[in-house]
Amino acid sequence: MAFKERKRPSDEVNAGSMADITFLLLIFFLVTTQINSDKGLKFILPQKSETTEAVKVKGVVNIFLNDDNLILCGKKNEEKEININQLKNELSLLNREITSKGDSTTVSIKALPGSSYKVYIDIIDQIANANIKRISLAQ
Amino acid sequence: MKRAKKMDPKISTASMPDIIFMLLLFFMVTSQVKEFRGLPVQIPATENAKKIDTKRNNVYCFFDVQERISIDDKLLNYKDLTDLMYMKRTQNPAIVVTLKIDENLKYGQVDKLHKALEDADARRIVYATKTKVN
Repeated sequence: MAFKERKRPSDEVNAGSMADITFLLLIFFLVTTQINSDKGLKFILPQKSETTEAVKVKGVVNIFLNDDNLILCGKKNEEKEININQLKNELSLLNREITSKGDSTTVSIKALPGSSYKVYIDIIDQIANANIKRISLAQ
Repeated sequence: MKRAKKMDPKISTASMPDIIFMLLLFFMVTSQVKEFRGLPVQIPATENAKKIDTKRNNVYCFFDVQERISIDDKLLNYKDLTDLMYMKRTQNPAIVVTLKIDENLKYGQVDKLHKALEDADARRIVYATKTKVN
């Protein structure tokens, strides 16, 4: 009697779809992963001391910000009202003038409590634009 | 003349799963789940926003429009902030506080935050900002 041999099913799991599954997982992680990219402006707060240190007068540029977000900028007693868009040019000019005398420029910011934080950050941004590193917060 | 064996024009895809597995493992290892949620803040945009090292030494401090302060999802007042930051700073003197401050706040409120941080001697800060799109 001639038995026809039955084809035995393979006992291995089909690995053909493995690539598809891993691809799917890969795409899931690609989409959901967000690389932490926080950005910001670095700043160092003044040291806490009983006696507030008087800033040396040489090479200091004052910036005042009032409750109506108006900006005054200039050397001591020469401050004039200025638009935020002109601040960079003004600071660059003053910086060049001060560094040509061999001093280093320090910008002193005095913001009133009612002024906007956004404008304050804009000012710091413009100071960074003018390549001035030293900033002091007036008390 | 012996005929040259004809080459199979297909690229072998046998190692495809290995490559994909490797990529998958890479993303699984490098991705990190956020451990805090913070407060909803709208941070200002600047031109000089620099990438900051967020791995070590970094503490996020949220300060929202309603003048709420949050660190590690705990709401704090100015006094608590000083105490907490003092503790954190003793543990790690190189600590940097990343301030996520809402742009609609007044400078006076931010200054109070400054003072609280100064009291804790946590003076190295970063104002978190977005990059300005022109």
